Amino acid sequence: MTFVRLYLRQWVAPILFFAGFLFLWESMIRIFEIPRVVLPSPAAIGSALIRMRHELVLGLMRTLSASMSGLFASTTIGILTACVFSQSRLIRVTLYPYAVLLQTIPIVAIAPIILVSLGRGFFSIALIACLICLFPVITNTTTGLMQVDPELLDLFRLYRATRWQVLTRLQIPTAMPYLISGIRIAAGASIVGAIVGEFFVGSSQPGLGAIIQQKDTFTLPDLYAAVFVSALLGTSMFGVISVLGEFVLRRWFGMSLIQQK
Amino acid sequence: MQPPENQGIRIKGVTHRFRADERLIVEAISLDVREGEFVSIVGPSGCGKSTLLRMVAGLLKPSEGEIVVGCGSERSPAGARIGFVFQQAALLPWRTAWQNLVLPFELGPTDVRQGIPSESQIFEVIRRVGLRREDVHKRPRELSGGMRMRLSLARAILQNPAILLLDEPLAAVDDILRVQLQEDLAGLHFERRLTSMLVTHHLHEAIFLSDRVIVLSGSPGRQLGELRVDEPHPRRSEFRRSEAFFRLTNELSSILQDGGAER
Repeated sequence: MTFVRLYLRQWVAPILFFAGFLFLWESMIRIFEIPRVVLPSPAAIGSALIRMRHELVLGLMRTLSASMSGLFASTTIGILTACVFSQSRLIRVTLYPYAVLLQTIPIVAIAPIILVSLGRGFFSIALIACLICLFPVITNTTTGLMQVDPELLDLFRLYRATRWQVLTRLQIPTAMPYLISGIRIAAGASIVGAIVGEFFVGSSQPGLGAIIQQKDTFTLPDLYAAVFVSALLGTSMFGVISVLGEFVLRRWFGMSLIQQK
Repeated sequence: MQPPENQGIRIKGVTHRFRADERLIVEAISLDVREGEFVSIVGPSGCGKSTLLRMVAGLLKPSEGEIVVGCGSERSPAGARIGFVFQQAALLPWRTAWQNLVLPFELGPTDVRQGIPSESQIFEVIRRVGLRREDVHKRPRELSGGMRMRLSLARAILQNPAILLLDEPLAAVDDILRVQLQEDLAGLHFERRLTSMLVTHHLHEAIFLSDRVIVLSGSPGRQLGELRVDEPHPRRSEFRRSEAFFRLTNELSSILQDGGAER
């Protein structure tokens, strides 16, 4: 699979940059003797990662399952909403401001409300993740559904295609690259959503958010380790969706996201 | 209005205005295309040639006047089966050539849908337009511009249409290929005798293919005149080099210039 190699090649430079950054960071800590409570060294964070591995892996699994559930729900709801939006200008004009509103309300403000209303459980965390993902999926998919080539639309009209046929055979395939871009953005955001949710849930079954929340200045390397794992998870989600999306686009739609860059 | 004889086209006093600003696109066009006749519409850019063709196809409604296609009713041109070849070939990029060919048979309400033609019929049409059997598995982006146009033409004639509408189908291909495709189109017209309307801005193309060339003025498009081409079908490449061809080209240019339309 050539495109997997292409993606991997894209990661070489950022990884080398990160390695250089870590080296510089470690050197600065040693040269200037910066205290651990101000900025822990990469080595200290590394040992915290090893020490906390069981806790972090468990947390990661919990965060991942909540964010994946949120992402799945948002993708389903987002696609359905976009399909409805694409059918009528009136519906679009009437409801789109509410989609924007959903995006502009700070998720840290909604999270406690959801937890109070729906309980401090998995469902609430997944719902918060879902809410944060919904906007990119709706907007990207709606844009894609509206990008249909006018000539192709004429062709479908000429052959008296029904609304359903236009949607399923023309609009949805046209929207696929946009949808996949939307899911890719949402994938990273879903981790943020789940972590914000876990922040408020507490420690009964701690995900990464709860682990981060429990740490303080005395356990700064542990905090950095948890943040590092969270960032790694978000980036991996983005990467996995990119590769999967590219595969789907190439295999079934003869398109590519790589060529569009 | 009486329907035109069999599978002809009758355009009577047709005017089209942009709905947004009431701007006139074409004005008072009247034209009869007989069954089996090949008629071209030429005129400067923006004179509403394509708009006229889209009205014939039923994709646009005339603001005034009537269009009857085949035995269809007023403003319901789809009374006859129409094949339409679009300027950009209008192929679905995610479908293979084969899947693009059968697309029209998947569309429309179930009760009016035609059955998918047999494999041999499809391969016959593919051969007829100059594509190879192995091309059917390719996606449009794997085909050249000329092949995409041939595929688009194959899709149109696979419907077994009574009427063929061609909207500048050769505008995007190079000169050498254009000449070749024109000859293929001429051969196809001779074989099938489809009532055909071609929109083009190439005067030579219009003369080579048509029985009649209708000249429209600049925006809004009004009929300036028409040119009859009496050369028998099938048209061969020698026709291009004949004295008659040069004379017809000059006549057509004169109609355009006298009417104030610039090419």
